[in-house]
Amino acid sequence: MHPSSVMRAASLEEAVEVLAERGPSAGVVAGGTDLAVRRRRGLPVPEVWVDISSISGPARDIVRSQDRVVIGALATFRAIAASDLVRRTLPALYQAANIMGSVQIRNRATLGGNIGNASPAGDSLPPLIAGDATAHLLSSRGRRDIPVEDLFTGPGQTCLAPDELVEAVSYPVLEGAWSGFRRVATRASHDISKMSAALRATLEQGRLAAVRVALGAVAPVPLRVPDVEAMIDGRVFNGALLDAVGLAASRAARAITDVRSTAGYRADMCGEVVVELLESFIRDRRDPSGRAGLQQRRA
Amino acid sequence: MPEAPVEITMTINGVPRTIRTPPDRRLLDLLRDDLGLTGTKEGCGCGECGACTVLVDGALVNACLLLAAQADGASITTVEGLGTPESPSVVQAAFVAETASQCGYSTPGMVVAVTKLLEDHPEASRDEARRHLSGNLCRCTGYRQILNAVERARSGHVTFPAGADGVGRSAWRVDALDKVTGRTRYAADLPWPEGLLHGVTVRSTEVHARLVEVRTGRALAMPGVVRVLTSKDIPGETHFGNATPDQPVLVVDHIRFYGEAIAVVLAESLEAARDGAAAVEVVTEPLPPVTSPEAALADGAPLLHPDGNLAVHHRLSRGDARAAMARADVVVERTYRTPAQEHVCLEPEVAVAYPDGAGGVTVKAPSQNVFFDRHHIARALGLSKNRVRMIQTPTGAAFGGREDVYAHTHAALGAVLTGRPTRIVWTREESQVATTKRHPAVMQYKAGLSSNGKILAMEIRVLADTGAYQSWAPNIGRKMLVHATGPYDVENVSTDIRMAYTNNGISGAFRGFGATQVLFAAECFADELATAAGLSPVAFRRLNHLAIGRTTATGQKITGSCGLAECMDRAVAEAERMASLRPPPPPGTVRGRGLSTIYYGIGYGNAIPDIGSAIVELLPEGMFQVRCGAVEYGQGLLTVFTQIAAEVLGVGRGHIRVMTGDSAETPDSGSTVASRQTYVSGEAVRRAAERLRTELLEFAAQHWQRRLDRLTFTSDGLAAGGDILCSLEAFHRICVEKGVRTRRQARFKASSTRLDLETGQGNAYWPYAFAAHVAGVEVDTRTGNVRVISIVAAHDVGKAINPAMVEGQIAGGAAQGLGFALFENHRFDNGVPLTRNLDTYRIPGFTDMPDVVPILVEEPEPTGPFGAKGVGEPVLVALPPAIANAVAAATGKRFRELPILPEDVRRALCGRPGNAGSATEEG
Repeated sequence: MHPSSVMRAASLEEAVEVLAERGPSAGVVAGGTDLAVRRRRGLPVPEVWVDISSISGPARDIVRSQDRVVIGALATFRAIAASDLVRRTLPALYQAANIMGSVQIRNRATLGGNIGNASPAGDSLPPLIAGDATAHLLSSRGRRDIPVEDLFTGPGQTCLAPDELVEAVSYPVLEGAWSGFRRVATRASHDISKMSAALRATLEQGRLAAVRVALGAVAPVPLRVPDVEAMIDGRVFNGALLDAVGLAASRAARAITDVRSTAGYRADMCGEVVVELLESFIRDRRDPSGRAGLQQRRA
Repeated sequence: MPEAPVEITMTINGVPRTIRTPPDRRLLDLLRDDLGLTGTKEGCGCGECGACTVLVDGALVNACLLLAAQADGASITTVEGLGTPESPSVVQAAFVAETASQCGYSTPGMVVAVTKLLEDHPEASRDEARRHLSGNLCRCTGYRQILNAVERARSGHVTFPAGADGVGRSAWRVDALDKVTGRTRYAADLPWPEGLLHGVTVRSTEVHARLVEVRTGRALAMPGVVRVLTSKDIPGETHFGNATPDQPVLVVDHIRFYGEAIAVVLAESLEAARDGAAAVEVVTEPLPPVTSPEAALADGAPLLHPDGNLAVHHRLSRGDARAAMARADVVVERTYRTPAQEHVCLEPEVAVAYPDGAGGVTVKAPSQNVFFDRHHIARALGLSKNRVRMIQTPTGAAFGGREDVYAHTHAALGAVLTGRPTRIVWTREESQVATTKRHPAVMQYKAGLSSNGKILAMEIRVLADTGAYQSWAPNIGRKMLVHATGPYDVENVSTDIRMAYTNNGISGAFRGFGATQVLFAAECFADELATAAGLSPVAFRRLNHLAIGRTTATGQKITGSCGLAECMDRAVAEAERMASLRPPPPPGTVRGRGLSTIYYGIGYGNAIPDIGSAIVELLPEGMFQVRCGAVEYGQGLLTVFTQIAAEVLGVGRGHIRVMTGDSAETPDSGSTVASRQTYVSGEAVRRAAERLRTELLEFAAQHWQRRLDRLTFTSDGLAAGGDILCSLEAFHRICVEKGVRTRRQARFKASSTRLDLETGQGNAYWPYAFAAHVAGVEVDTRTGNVRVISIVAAHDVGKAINPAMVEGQIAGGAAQGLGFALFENHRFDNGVPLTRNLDTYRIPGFTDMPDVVPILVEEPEPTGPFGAKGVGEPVLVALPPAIANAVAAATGKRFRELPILPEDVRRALCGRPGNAGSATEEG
């Protein structure tokens, strides 16, 4: 598959005009780290590539806007991985951005691209879902907002219209919230997750609250797991809770066996990793000076 | 159809350029093909290996993932922009000084990445450097010396003086400056000659089928397509093979594996050839696939070859294993399994063929033996050997993967039939599906022990999968046969090796050549036997090990260099010392250490003529030239020959020039395989240099009327005591005037005897290398993930001609061994390959490898040059069983199948009480 033309858009507004004009044969390319691989594999790629990678300004920015953090779709993983704002407000996303791909990939890959590519294994997706993030979509017809957890319809598929793109992502800043990301992969770095998970929660008067849990690479789409959340929300942390949560997280997985791992292992890891995230949360809360929440698991 | 070219402006290595290029052109292709900046390499094409790493506006980027049009207006720095051989950057100089390049193919991207790392994080620790550099893979070095180069470069002052060139010195590699600056031209980097045709291979998408017809009409009608080669175009023999000609150059009528070459489309451009290949119609009738050796040997299995599916059957019998087994106090039986492993040479297969205008052809390609390649090419073309010239290009690693011809014959065929130069460059995906793999094997071991732990008898049965063709299967089977017991003196042995044809790709030569599989089994088995005997792994081995005066399974008495005991003692002691310094394991993990000890036959063995041949000549310009048909592929052969010649002749490296791997210009010195070339060709070089030196100095003594024992060659000229009698140029002139020949050739033949076909008895190899590894692992009891935290590798190499290069071999071989132990597995689904690029076939990266601690044991081999043996393969062979034994020590569970995946470890540990959050002591 060859792209037959590449047009450079000066702004996202211009890009969506082109998408509307050219119809479904056109698609946007940002960092290109996924699209280039699709092209090499002979998988369908747009005929007309609308290159948005050189757009500067708010589309790349990571800013605090009142009680939310707004990340432009063209923010690279490098930028997110270096953002003190993200580190403080959604550590899970910060951790995912730091471990995703390689330095080379992180320099090009964008948050909008990771969402648009809609891989069930996309490393930013569980943190965004756990962080209650909203995608701000843009088309020539206007703007609309969709919770990130509702964006994905299948592997590589989203509910975005063909002429629509992600303009930005934002998430609420929840005072006192903790979040964390873990993944399991073959290599210690530069790998694709066998499974991943993110958890966000607060502790209010000794009880867990505002809990959101999302799993990656264990279903056709990144998966929010309300059953698991409900089990944790409002509860006091204890060993029995951990066991029950681990079991529920494993059951929530709808994993498959493929070249990277097995369905059974992925399901098991859902339990282990969610439990480990909860343990890390509690450990961090008991030792707030500790930076355990920022440490990444070697797996 | 692509739109008209776009005009883009870039600053490349400081020079502003305006370029017109098709809109879909990758930055990598623009740099390499349009601008000739071939220092930037393609290894995988999908952002996994980092060989194409460049700086775009100061950021590291994979040039394979970026469209050139996306870099419009950008400032780009490639390896060529960092320094030159004449004036290398600090990082480049540090790579030279630390022997951080081997084959050199990943080096340019690595140099760019390290340069950026040190700009951004000048104080990065080794572990931080590992994480930052993890987007760059290297298959040769094991990363240790690259990290050393990072540390060296940080100091800012790097020198690598000439001088320390003699034998036993860590002289810097003679090819390093070109490799670290991107100057080395691999075959895909060669300039495109006028009239060049590009070839793209049409491959089978079926596992097993009858080929009915290849319809080429549509392809030939496409713009730019010049010719489509099929088996009907082969003027000579349609089949070839290393052991037996069972493999078609292009499929004739029987497709035997997914990815097999059926046709080659030749076109004016690569794009046209690709489009043409997609238009070739292949008509087939499917046949039932045979996807395991067990199924292949079952009654009624579909036949892959007329003589049946049993490709190889070797037997060895020493003493009376059955009777001795019956007498044994303890009998233990275990079965071990190993998977298909891919070499992952970062340079994919490539060949460029140039017609000579008179019906002959010159082929330039990576190779492990230009004479074999020439033989195969000439045979297919129906030409005599002297009409084909094969020149080895700098080779982006080999590991046994270049012992088979691939694109070579196809390119030669294209050049001869069209009269135009022909270039074929395989993709990583083609390399992954269509090249040989390490034979998957199932190995059944049975041993009888005496009550005190002495091995009385062993019975070993191996069934291996040779895939669609034999390649080197009989030779690999023989290496299995010889090494199957492990390095033990066992009086009663019965071994049976069978290798079957299947439709699972092709198996062939891979570093270790069959010994890798059986020594994995034997060394895991040794630990299990030790347990059964109530002995420690060390005590059990000490009791049973080979030593001088003891006898191998083939009845060969070890008489020469045998450093096995010293290797084991030193490796174990160092590993214990290191473990005592390590902080306790983190919660949720358990640790263990594992030992393995191996022996490894150097050279072809089995009385196959194992001959090294070299010419050393004094040239008119006052340089000594070494010529030898062996090849450099990263292991350091050019440097080894330079050091040996410099040592013997007494001159500096600047006065030695080495030419290798050219079927027209260098003497046949056999394959660069079997860890043999330092030993065999190194000795030939030593002898030729010695002979030349002696005879020329005798002439000089006569000519100048000086005492012979006062005369030497030096870099400044012919010397008598402290006086320079004349320059080497002048000396050459005088020799010519006086009719004295300035060239000598010497040969060296390794000794082995033919094994008895029935009993497998004989002096299988000469000499043997010995090694002991201790691996330390940390197992995460929740994920089952195994992390190797330490590797101590002691190798008896006879004599290290260049210790830094030996250490490079050890660390690099360990990385391949670690991958084999823990995750490498070329997988098939009913014959269809699943792992087709480096995103699914994972090889170890920076963060997977601990710093290997090499220990060099030097038990001189009397027949080797300066006592040297070989090291290339044992370095890989020894590690996988050490890792498996370490995992067993850590978890109490024995994993008998490689790779040891977290999925399996987790399953085995499940239900084991108290594993969460607790830690055990190191085993």
